[in-house]
Amino acid sequence: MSEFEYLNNLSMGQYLPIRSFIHQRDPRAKLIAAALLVFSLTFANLLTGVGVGLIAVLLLLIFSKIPARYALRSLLTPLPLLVFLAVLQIFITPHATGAEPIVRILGIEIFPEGFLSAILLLMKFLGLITLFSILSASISTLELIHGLDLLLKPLKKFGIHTGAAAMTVQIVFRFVPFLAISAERIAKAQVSRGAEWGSGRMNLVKKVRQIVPLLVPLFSSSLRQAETLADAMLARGYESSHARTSILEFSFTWVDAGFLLGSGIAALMIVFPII
Amino acid sequence: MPNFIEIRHATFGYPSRITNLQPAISNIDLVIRQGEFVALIGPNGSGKSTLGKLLNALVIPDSGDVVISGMNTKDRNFLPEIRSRVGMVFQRPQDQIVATTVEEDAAFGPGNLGIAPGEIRRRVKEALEITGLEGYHDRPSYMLSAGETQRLALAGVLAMKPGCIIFDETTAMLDPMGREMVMEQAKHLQRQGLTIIFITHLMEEAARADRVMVLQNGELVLDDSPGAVFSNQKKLASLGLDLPETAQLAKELNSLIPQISKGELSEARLFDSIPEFIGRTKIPADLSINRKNLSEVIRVNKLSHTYMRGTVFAHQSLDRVDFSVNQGRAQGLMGSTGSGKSTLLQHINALIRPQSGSVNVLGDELDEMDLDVKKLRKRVGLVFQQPEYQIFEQYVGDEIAFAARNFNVEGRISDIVRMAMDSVSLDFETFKDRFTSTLSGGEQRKVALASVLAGNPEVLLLDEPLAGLDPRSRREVSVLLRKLKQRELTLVISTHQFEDLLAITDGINVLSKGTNAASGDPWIIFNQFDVLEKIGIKSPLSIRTAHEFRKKGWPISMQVVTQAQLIGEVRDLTKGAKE
Repeated sequence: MSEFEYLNNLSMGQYLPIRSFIHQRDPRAKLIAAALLVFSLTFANLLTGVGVGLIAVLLLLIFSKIPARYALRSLLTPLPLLVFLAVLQIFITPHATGAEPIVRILGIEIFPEGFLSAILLLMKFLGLITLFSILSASISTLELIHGLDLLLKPLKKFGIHTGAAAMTVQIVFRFVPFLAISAERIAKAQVSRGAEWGSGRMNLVKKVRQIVPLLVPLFSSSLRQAETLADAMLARGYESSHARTSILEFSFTWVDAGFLLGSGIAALMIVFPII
Repeated sequence: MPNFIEIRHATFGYPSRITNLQPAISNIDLVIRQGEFVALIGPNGSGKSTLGKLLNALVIPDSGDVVISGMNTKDRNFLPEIRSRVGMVFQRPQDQIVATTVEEDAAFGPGNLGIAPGEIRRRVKEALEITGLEGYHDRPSYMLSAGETQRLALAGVLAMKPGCIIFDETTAMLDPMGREMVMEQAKHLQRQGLTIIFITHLMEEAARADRVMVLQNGELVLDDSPGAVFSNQKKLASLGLDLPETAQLAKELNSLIPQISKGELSEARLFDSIPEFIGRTKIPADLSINRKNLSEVIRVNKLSHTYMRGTVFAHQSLDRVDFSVNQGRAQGLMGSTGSGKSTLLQHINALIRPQSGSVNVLGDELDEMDLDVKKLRKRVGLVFQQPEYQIFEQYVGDEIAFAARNFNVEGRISDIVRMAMDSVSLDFETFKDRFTSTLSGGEQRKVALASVLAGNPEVLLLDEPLAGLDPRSRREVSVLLRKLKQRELTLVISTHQFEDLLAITDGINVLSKGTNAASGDPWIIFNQFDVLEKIGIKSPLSIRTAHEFRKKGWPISMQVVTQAQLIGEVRDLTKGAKE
């Protein structure tokens, strides 16, 4: 049983050091490709387009060599919510006047439009969440920061501290596993002193009631941690005004360009599928 | 040698609403030369870490100056340069890790200095080699063991090519071999010309420096060679500090055997100065204790556990471990970091359920689904490792009342809290309304202990109860544990620092890499020097000294465990020789 292994249930925000085609791409290519796919998937409204999107995500998953179970695990947590939204979608989607419902249960009519949009919603989220998992598993924090830094460089003309923005992202990523570990510590401390902790079925109220006493200490321990981390960063020479260099040197190759082009075409096909 | 660090009349106080608060550092003057190895000691809250931060320009003195290689920390333009000259390994090395993989983290410092990528790669490679982390490049930085995290923190500092490294209680949570490795690394860096400032609670470590500085209430009260500092025992005692163990033992032995020098700080020299035995051989008194047939309260059979099972990070923590404890006994659990001690303790408290094998506690099988875990956890209290990071209430009183409320302990809550606080010698009136965040390290440890005792457990599991405490708090907590044992509580104590607990420990189990390595009476375990060394554990000094005495022909009995027992036997034998 691993009711406290939060780290285990957390695959977003964890880099997996694998040598794969995707991992070796220039971070700028990875970031732009991800952004293109996210936007196109979000705005796609045809089944075929979303289908193309899912195929693109599947291809990314294969070429990144990330274990499918690992990438899909992050779907488990939001799944109940997604199903709820999908069911809601079935009932609230407007339908053409005079259309024939496909089924009629207990006086509730279900129209094909509602059904379709529910499926669309589920597919979209499946694609998006998996995409985020792939991105975070295939781009290390340093790559991410450097990639963002390079991409955002034009903004420097407007007086925006792009280096600081990139560092903020890095710290967020650094904190994800830290929060999981802290939550585990505090939960264990409370449970071993008799706090109730159901791992099985529980109603929402009970679940919330169990989480609240965890949040306050988690918040204060995070603040404390943030303070020491800030000290540690300064001690290691970090000044946001300073021009930073990196252990990595990036060269945008033809392969990266091709990868980006492929993603661009996929994004176009997702939004404007040709049938 | 040039003056590398100069502090002139420096005073610094943390901003606070209390106006007449004692400053953290007050009026310190000192000079440290390039290449010196300085140990910085003093009780919790004496300003050691703050002094470190002054040198690293993390804090700037309110008055006076701190000058590093001619650069005053008050001049902001020097800050990056100063911080690259004076590196700092923090108290909790995991606090210092910025990036998510090992290689990237080591590259963070040089990257901030604007060094060319090729040079960064070279430096990172070298730093990881020095710290023994080669081959770890791609490891997630949060999945390292305590020792590895500490080494990564050091690698990150080394990659900046500093002239001075401050180790801020870096060794507190490491096992003896891990500590030894840090000390060796520090010594090695010193030979290469670096200045080392070693902040520590362990007097044995301080004794190995060239120079010892003692802080109290922000003032520099002693600054001398280790020999001189540790001969001033009265002063040390008034500061709540101990003699190093070796010196303590040497002092006691000196009164019986004058050849042993009183202030001896080196173990090797102490052992060498033990004379050959010339007295009559006498059969020493039998020290073995009559053991009553007591009922078994904990029985663990062939227990295995794998963390993050089914993921790429899966690792086995326990492998078919057997373990048992009888009623009212104090059982020690020993092993280097990562040997599975904490995992085993969490099984006994039902925080982790057995994946395979069985755990029986107070008659309950813990793999049964309908087990009343709450009832079990009431009977078996667990004090975690570094429990101060798990204090979650704002007020001391609430923290201690938590278990009593949840477990519905009989009686008025305030009485229960008062009793629990009494048993850890915290005054109820003074402490019940204190903020938990304002407690000292030793007080926090006591609150954590009291908060478990308030549940009135029959079995108490303690995970590294003495680690990271200053000498005074360490003594106080060991006394508390002794009292608890007298109350017939069954204790299971996991630790890699047995010196202070020898007197109460009845039996010891040694774990190594998640498997049973040895078990038995303390004297049997601790006399197996080669077995212990192989798994990274050092026998207590008293037992190793007894062994050296035996080598010189002294008929010291094998059952000798504590320093008092050793001294007692040596006294009897020297008396015999004089008669």
